[in-house]
Amino acid sequence: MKRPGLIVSPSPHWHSGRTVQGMMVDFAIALLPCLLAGWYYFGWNAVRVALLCVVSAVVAEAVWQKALKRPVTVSDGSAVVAGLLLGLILSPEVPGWICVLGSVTAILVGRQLFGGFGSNPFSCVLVGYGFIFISYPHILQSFPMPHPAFGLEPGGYIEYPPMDILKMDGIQVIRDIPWTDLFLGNVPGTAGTVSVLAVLLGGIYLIARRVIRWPIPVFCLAGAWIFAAVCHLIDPSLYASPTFHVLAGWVFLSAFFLATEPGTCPVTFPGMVLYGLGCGCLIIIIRTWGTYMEGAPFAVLLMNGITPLLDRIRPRVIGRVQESA
Amino acid sequence: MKLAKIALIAASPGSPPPPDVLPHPEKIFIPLDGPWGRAEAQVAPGQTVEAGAVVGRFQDPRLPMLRASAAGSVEGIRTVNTPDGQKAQAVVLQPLGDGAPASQAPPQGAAPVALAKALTEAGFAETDRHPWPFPARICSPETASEAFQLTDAPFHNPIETLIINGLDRQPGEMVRRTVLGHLGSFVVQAVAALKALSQASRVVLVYDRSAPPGGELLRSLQEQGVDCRGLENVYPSALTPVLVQLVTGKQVPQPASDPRLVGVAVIDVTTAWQLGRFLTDGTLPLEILVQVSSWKSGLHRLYRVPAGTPLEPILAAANAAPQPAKIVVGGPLLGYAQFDRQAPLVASDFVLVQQPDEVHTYNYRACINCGHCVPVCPMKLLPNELGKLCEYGRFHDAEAQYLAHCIECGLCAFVCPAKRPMVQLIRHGKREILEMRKES
Repeated sequence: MKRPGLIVSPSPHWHSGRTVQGMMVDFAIALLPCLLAGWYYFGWNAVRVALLCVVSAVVAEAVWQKALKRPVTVSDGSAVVAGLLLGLILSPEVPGWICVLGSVTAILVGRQLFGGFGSNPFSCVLVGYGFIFISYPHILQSFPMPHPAFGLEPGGYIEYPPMDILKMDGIQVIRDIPWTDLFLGNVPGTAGTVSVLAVLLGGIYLIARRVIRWPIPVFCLAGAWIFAAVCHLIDPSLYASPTFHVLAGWVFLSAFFLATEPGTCPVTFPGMVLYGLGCGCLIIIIRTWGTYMEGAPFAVLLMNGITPLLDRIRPRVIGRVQESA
Repeated sequence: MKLAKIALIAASPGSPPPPDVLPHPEKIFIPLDGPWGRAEAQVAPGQTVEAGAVVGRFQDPRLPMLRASAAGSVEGIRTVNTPDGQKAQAVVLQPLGDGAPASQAPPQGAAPVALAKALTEAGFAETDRHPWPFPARICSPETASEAFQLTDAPFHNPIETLIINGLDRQPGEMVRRTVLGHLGSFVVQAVAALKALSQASRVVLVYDRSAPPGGELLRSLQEQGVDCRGLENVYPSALTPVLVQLVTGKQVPQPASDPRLVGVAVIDVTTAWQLGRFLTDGTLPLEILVQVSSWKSGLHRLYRVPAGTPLEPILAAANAAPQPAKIVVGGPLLGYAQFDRQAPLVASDFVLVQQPDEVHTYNYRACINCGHCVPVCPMKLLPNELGKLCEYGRFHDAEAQYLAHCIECGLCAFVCPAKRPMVQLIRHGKREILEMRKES
């Protein structure tokens, strides 16, 4: 009887079981608190926007890969996460075609043109967001008031997102916003960015599961806080307090989810530290002196561009000997 | 030195059972080709040899002799597949009965030069690859120069620390802890000779902290002046360059990977066991320890077999899996997948049998640049970049990024979410560079 042959392959013959699908499932789980926060404050509209983005992102990826006769990688879930993330940074009031346009741009221009997941130099979510933000700013900058589904009273202190208030009404007004509202998300804004608590839950889950590494989020937050603190110390009447800057708007979401997209951030420890600090500082710089209300999307995109440079900072290899003549 | 802690499933129970002695197999293969080149056969087909008889000899007398691990008749010399996937000429021996293990009069006295020569003639084979054979590797400069005429670097370096490595190499392996648990008295016997040979000021026995050997063994080793250190066995801490750095804090220069360059010598505890046994009653180092494991069926067996026993009879005795999909010699992370069940084992080793649903398959998708491989690399390389450079044929760029420093521990491939064949890419790059050097 001829016995079946043996399988031959190079070592190692064992794998940790970590897969791209698994990473994406973790990302999706980590974004669930944000989605719930969106539903809690803004109702089903927020969920509708997120779902529409997810569906259009998945369809865009599948159609593109089919058309190019490339293997269809929809099953790895990267398009789902990209769509979900985009849905969470769009205002719950945007019309459906904006969601579709944003997702298709994110997937095709932001990712597929470069070769697919992990090969894109710029965060594909922010490429899609940047495109629709620059093209249709008036649609993207209309935000609903929060109406918590139960428990909390609607946060009625401001009618616009805190960053818009800071830009338009100045520093006096934002002093009245309670920090608990900022932390819980009881302010106008988008589903993913209002609630620091929700982002923090997801972010800690991602770090605990080792899907993302801690230096980027930690140093991004630290960079933003320190830079804002320095400004605040120089002139408290002109620059908002650092804690307000960090709690309000996109800082937490950028630190944990946008700046850490695989392929767009450095992989070595010193690179990650500089990248995180750079993201944090740029967010505050653009917020304070730029024309945009929210500095995070473009801060992260700019730092994505510097990633190849930061990746050249290498750890010292073990066992390197100085050649002696 | 900080190693990345990965949840490597400990597939082995804490203290292993004593190893079983298997009856002699039908055939024993003694490969003449090996890491040191080809030895000349000293026997002819049809000849009957005693256990311990010399069957192969290298032209260079500093290399270990090849000996028959059992008494038997020489069937012939033919080509066999070795466990590391090479073809080798091998002496085929048909053992006659289950004779006593080969022995000869143990070397008398502790004159290092005579001892070193006697050990070379005894023919020690080792599990790990080393730049030089045991015992030349562990000799003090004076002995190396007198016994082996080795005076150049790294042999002019005195040995400061001699490490007896009792850490199992990989998760699931328990060969070395078996030696310490059941055969440790021989290791004690080896200490005096190791000290005489190496003139090391410090002898360290490293063992797995989670499975420490008996207190009596540690006491008698300490009485001999051995520094016993329990380390946390985080893979790859048992691999020579990493171990040397953990114990002494010195970095082993790469790519030479010779700890002698920093005044350290490392020997495997299985070699120390064979050495102690040889010095006690003259038993030649021709018996090896083989572990057979199947994680799916929770099977862990240890056998003492003559060196040169093919896989087939060992697997049959263990009854590991009737129809294995993959047989790996050397363990899950470092081993070689076998295609020939007649491949002979010449040194103590770990055989892992995998069933079809356990087999890990690689994926040839592009690198997703997640960077998970970077924090786990014990040599602090950037495996993601090395993999890409080797994949796209940019071998010189890869070399400039210390491709040759890779010790092929396999952790980058273990954690890779894209399931890229990192070790294969890196080996491919190393091979291409060697070929290019040969051409130029």
